[in-house]
Amino acid sequence: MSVPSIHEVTQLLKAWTAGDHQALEKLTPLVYRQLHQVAQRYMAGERADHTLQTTALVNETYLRLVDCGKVNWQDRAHFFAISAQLMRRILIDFARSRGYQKRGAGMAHMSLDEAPSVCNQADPDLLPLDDALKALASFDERKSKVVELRFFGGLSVEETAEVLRISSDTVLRDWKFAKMWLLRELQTGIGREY
Amino acid sequence: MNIERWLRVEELCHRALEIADGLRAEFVQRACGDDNELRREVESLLAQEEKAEHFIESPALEVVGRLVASETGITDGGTQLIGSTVSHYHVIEKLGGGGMGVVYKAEDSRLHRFVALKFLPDSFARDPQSLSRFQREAQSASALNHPNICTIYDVGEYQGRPFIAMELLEGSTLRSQISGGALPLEGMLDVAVQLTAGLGAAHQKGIIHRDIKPANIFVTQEGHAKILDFGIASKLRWNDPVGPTVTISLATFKEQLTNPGAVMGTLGYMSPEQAKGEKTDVRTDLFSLGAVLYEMATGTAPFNANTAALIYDSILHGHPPKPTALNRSLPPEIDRIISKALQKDPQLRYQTAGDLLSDLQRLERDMESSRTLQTDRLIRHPSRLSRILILGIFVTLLLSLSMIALLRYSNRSTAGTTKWEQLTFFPDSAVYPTLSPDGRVLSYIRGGGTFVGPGNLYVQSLPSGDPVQLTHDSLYKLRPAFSPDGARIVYSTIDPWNTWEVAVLGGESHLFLANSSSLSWIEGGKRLLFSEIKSGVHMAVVTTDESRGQGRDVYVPTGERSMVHHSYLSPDGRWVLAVVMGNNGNLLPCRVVSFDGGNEEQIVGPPDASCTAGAWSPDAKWIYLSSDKGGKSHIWRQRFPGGNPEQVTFGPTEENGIAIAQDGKSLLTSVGITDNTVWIHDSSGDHQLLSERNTCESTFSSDGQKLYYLMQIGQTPEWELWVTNLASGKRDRILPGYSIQPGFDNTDYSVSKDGKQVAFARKNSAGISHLWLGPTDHRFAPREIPSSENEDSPFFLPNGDLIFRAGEGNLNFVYRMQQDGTARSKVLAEPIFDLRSVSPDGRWVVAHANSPDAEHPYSVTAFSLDGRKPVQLCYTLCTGSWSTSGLFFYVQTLPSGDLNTYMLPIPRGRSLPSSAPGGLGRAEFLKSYQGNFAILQTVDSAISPSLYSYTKGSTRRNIYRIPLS
Repeated sequence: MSVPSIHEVTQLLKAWTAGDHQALEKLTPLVYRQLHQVAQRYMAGERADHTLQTTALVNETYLRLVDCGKVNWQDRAHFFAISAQLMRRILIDFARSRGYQKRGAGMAHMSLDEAPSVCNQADPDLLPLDDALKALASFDERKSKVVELRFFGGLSVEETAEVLRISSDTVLRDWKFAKMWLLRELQTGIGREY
Repeated sequence: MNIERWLRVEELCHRALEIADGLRAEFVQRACGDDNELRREVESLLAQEEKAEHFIESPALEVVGRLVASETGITDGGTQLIGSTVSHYHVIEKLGGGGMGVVYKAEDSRLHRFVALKFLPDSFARDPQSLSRFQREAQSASALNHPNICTIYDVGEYQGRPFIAMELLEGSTLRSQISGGALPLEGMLDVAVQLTAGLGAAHQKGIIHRDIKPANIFVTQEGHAKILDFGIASKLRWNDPVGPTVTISLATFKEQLTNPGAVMGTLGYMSPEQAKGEKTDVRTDLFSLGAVLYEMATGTAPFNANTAALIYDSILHGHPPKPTALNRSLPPEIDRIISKALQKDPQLRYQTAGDLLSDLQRLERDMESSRTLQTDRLIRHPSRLSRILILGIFVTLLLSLSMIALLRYSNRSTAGTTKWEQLTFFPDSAVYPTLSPDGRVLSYIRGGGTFVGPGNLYVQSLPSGDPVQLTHDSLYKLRPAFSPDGARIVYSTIDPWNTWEVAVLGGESHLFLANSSSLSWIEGGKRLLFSEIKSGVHMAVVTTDESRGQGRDVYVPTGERSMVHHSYLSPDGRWVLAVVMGNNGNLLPCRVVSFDGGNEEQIVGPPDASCTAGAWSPDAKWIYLSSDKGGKSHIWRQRFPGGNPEQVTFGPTEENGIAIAQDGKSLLTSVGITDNTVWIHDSSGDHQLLSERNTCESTFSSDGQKLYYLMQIGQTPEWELWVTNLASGKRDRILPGYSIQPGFDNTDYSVSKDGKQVAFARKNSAGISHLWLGPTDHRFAPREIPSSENEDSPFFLPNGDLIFRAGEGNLNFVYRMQQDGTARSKVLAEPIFDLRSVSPDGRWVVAHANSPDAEHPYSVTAFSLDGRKPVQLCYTLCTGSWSTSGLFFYVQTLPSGDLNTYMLPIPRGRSLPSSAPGGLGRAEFLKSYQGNFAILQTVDSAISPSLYSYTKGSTRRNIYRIPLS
């Protein structure tokens, strides 16, 4: 038996918890809109205020849930977790569809001096990172979750702690170590076993 | 995988990081002893320390945004093409770009004429199959030569990228012409006749467009309507439901990126047969043309909603209001023509473009002859632009005249009556009511959620003027406010939080103040009060003069992610009432702070309730709030200072936003009502179970003869269990006096297979949920099954035992027990989130649980109760359940975005449908499953694909005037 729609926002919440497809449809344009805004901002040559953008997305989405006034703690943590997971999926699919297989691969036809200055040298290649993250999840799921929530979900350390029900200190430790491990994997190639 | 070793590596790394650089190597050396492999591992990780500091600190969205920016900057800039020669076309300039590719102006060096060169998206070019199909179609379309079809001259390829050379048009798309509202009747008929003629010509050659929509129609400066992209549009569309698979192409992403919502816009012109994935023919184009005519005539698309699923639903089942109901200046004949074009059944529609054309031409002639009788025709053959301009001036004039007229009479208010007076009559949503300083003009935001949502600003004169739309951008907006002279309105958009200004009489919006939100004028218009982002999302209330000088903070909330979204200065200028969002993104109770500063807060309104808006009475003695205490937002008030909160409005509606009339005798608020209705699909079609009350959560008896459901009790948030005998229509209240509150993630009741008993969950006064068991025939009173834990989601097993969800610490588990509460046992070792369904044979349960799959941390899984391996059915956004008969399994899932429920026959002797790698949730799998039925509803309960029930819901919000005692 499926759950009823008491309220339009409840439907959205239900979507995340119970599996209605409208949820992704509502979130995906939101992600694209954000992405569009971020891209526009870079094209306009503005400096980035990293934290504002992604957290604003989460906050805005969350606002729509809060609208119904019926969200409890667990729903909220669940929401953040799924939100980050969807962001990961949407962005990775997007990167794949655009042929961002490797840094610059999608821009192979242009010469170096044409290359725009917006690319940040510290940016990871998303697809290998996603693979490395999957590898990490196979033996340390929590660390992969920390990375998913922080990097894809844009959550703060405290929010990540809340979602995973661990302390902020643990999040920080996991985050630091996971980053070192991921970096090394990306440099030396996947395949290390424990 | 060696967990111990991994933990050891981690531990050593963390310890090493705490040691000063110089001593680190020695520490690692010593700690690893002669385990060289361990040492290399630790050292290779430590070597990353410096780089890791900045690694992935920038969120993924930013990273992808940068990539998009860099790529868009190159490919769409098209700098490398301009000035070069493509085939025999000399590229001159870029005209535009979008989801369908980039268009350049070029000169044909052989024929010395200008052409438009359209390059297709790269993703399209990479797929040889679709490329060759495209080329075939374009070739045949190039044979079309008609003044109302944009001519294709040539199809070619340049450096592997396919392009089309076509007629160069100057003008704009119909989309941009009607985004400002309905076209004047004469112009609309003119365009309609041209489009129909163009379609007719193509249809005669056997070419169907399949994607007629305003964005694919061009109107030249001379007033010629041209249909674009014949023969190619449907091949390029993002989600071709006619095709065997759904692939979201780059075009989709681009289109969404360049114009979020464009895809949704496309869906709304699709015919029912396209929506169902059925065969299409020329009548498909006539339906889409009907939808375009509707929008030209009314300014509103007939099938419009926020999600694809709702649009599909509206196309398949919705009946848009008659055009004349939306635009009273239209002749009634338009209703008939458009309604005939929009018939769901192609048989009942216009059969050919010729039929439609003769109706349109007849109407045009009739209008022409009636018009020549009128003497006030200003210009005999005005150009299209001047016609629109004249209409605009006329509307503005009318508006100001009617405002003047209405302002005179607007003091005839309803004060003294106790009835709520409805001021807006929208089928969707009007929120944030605001009154002009003289109380004679109402402004509000139409569309979106109660707190923030996409919508447009409207004004209407009181008491009964027509709504006038002032903005057309559908951006996320909040809180409009009038300027002190009442001539302008400001409103805020979010992310970035900016305040915009627009004249009450219409015109363009202008940025009024950046980084400001919920702005109002104070101190007689000399100063401003607004919210300002301090850093990140931390938002405080500040006051400045009109040029943002002489500013100071009024209220800075604690918590770096907390936000004061709204502020209202008391009429005596001493206090500020604030709507605050806490650090966690939840709306808190409202509070009052001193305008002069000092962060002392007084909480007002009901405690532990989300407060969304507020207002002061004109005498500054009362605070009014809209606050959600106990599940519904209502109006509350409280004397200030020193009073206690008291509730003003009650009942099944929800009230949000407050504007208090100047005389203090009434307030305006947005009143929302949600309807839920159970529908039944049987051999005779779809019908509503009951029309007079809200119903939901329906479930069939095992023989399919009865339907159980929850029905709302009067004006309360409580629901009761009812049953209707489907043959006789007789209905019965099963558990009088036992209310059940529908939940999101739990099943609230279930009926035993023999139909004699019902199990349900009820919360006690401490908020703990326990299971209850009652008879379906009132023989005795229901009884509670004692327990010390939270328990809900009961289901009957075939032997009468109960299976349910029970809390244990922080986790949920599946338990079973006998009906008397004995023999309790945990049936699955794994914790779950929620219990969705139990197979009729009692051998499997479906639950939402953690998943071992790294990519999908949660999955909907079928767990065996007799020790078989769990089967992952699908991932987060889906669910599955059995038909009451056990012969079908229905999956409700997303990925294609086209259908809600798939009903899959279960092979004989099995409990589950045949599975597939990657689960059941994939559209390709579901669509190719032998014997599957696709149902465009979120099914509640099913006997078979020809007998099932579902719940439909809708919310409307309109502005009401509520008298105050």
